[in-house]
Amino acid sequence: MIGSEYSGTTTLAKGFIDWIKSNLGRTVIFHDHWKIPQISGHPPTEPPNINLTTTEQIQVSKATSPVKELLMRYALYYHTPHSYEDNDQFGLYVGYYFDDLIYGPEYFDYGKPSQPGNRILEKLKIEQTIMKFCPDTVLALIKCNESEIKKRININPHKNQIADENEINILSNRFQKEFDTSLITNKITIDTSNSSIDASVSELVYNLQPFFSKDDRMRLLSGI
Amino acid sequence: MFIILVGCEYSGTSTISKSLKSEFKEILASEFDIHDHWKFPNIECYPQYSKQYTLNKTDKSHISQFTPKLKEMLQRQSLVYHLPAPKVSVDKIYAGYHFDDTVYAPIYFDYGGPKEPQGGPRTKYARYIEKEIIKSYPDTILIHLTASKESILERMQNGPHENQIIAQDDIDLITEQFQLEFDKSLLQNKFTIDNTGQSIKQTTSDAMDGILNYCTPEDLARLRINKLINERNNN
Repeated sequence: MIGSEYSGTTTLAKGFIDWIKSNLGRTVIFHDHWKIPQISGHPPTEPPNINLTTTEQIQVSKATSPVKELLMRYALYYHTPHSYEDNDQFGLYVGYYFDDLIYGPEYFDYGKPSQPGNRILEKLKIEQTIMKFCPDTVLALIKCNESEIKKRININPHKNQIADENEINILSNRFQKEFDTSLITNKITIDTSNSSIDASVSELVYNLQPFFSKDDRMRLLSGI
Repeated sequence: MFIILVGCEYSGTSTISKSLKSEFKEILASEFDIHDHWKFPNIECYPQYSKQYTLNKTDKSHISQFTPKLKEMLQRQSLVYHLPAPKVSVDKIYAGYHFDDTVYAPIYFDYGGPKEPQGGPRTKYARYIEKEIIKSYPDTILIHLTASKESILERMQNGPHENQIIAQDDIDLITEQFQLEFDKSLLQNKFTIDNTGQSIKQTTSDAMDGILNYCTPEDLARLRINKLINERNNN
């Protein structure tokens, strides 16, 4: 699930996890830690000794660009499927290599085409790996118009907000471009501009129907 | 062919990796990829298609100052990042790899001990890494290089590493830990070479003998084909 900051990815993901738990009875492997300095842990479900402390987040923020690049690339591949095993797990990644691809070169000075770890090439490599080991992956682009994003920024600003208000359209267009050129074939788009969280979750579920697995359909029908 | 060379710092893993790479270039016509970057703060690695970079002093100092939790995360993710891909032919030599992490982390970097929250004690995580390796590359060859304490001390004095990890007083402990991990390793194609008093050439030769002993039929065919092509080219 990808989209520019404040488009609603994290909120929608949490709503969708609740839906999966109640309708499919499945545990979700959830990763939403791709925005520097929040690059590890899964709050609030994991204990503080797993999540990064304020000191650690400062260390990540202050690290040189090459070190940030390594931290992010190792993390990306660590979370990329690397075997054919079918473990029947449901994974939900928010941001993932799209956050890194877009924010890294723009705000953290790494991964540009002239630098080590060119993120355009890494995107290609990661998507080839995903399509090899998890071809059923679905890519969801979460969109929101500029005025609504500005409203969300004012109401509930993120502690480590990355982009400036003036860059909303540029970033939205960039996410759209990377979504359009992605090698992942199963794609859906959700616009959260004028929808409640529940309505967006319903829209997401509705659009995901063609991509449910046979087991998921049986689970839904049997109510297990 | 996937080879992992392990051993206490100054046992010769880096030197022998380079020497083996030259040998393989000659006998297999293959450019083996060496990965020798699991000793903090020298942890950088870039894919072959990428521009390369060597961490400078500032980069390294930032890594060295990381908390144990960040160091643990970096190394764990680096280990998984470097797992050989399934069903892909690889010609790689890893020097240190999960053994460096498992042995040095609890002693020098304050993570990976009995209470490690991420993946449990490192010795347990090392077996997980090996299970993953075996799934993709069951014919992996593990070589344990050893040297006497006196020999390690002598090498340490003659050519000290810039970011030396081990302390002189810990040599017995570290060599013992490497031996323990080697004994526990799930990789079945494994052997030890004591290179105390040996030349690089002699150790390389011993390593090649051991490697040839564990070669797969496909590796043997590659050796024969290279020999055949060389003979034809020379005639």
